[in-house]
Amino acid sequence: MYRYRDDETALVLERIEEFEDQIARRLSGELSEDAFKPLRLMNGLYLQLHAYMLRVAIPYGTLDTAQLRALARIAERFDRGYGHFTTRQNLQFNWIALTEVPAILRELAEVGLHAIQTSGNCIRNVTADPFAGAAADELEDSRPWAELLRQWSTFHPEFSFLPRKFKIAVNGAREDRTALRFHDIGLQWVRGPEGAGGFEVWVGGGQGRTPRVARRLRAFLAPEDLLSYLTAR
Amino acid sequence: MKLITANHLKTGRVIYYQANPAGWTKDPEAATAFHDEVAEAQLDALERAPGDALGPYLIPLSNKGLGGQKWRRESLRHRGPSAGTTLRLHEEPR
Repeated sequence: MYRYRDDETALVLERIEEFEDQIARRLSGELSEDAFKPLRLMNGLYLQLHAYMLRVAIPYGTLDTAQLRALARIAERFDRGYGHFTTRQNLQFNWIALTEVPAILRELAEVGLHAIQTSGNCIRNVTADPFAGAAADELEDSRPWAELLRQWSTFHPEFSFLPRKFKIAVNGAREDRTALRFHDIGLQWVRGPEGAGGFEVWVGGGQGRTPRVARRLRAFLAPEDLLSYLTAR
Repeated sequence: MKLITANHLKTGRVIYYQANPAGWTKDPEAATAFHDEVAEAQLDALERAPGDALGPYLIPLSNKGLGGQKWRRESLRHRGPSAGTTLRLHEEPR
């Protein structure tokens, strides 16, 4: 699985410091709730019916033991001893205090996790087959492709303020275990006419208040064209 | 008659406004029920100086008080989630 470089870790820590300052200014009254809300949403922090909820990104649903233990520690120390795994492979803590968010984010950063782009109108966590790498019907490991898309979409200036949230799934197996056709973009690994691997591209799917099944936009996309094609779409 | 409710700035928890002593409480039974016009004026004042309250708003009281279909949302806010291992209202988190 992907390991952050030092500069990437530094970026995450800088982002935590920035959000900690924003929280302090909110608590002091310097920032109004209207001004603070988009800032907290950019850091995965919602205010829900009963309490704040922090959504942690788990890129393509892959966790190592250190990360899982860190999530468990956070649940014990800062929540009620549990969290909720979501259908899009994130983890939500539902009883978080605003004042404790910076400490939680630092614990997450120690194991290469964060809550950036888990809310707001941006490209969200890219999901993949939960059995990727171990599925009998796998044609291609979807995780490196999901990681490529994660790096491409994270802090992408053109896609940080979209009209609405945007979701991408990648499936490299014959069976779809990603709900591919209920994503804004679904990428299915297929063999092209000359036998080379590439992506079948599905677009326009979604859930929520206006659910709809995605339509196939392209039967075969060469992998080297993936990022430029998605940018253009 | 109306109550004023909000979420607490630091914890996000559900709170209710009480007039005497003036402040916020987690207990809806301790909240002050205001006549409609007074409630509007009080809410206006709280919106201008919200302090530790997030998004204060009015909830109308029925003859039966809290509960019932009309009160579904407020009932959920008051009682907390009903799912599985979630702690009940009287149990303090952590």
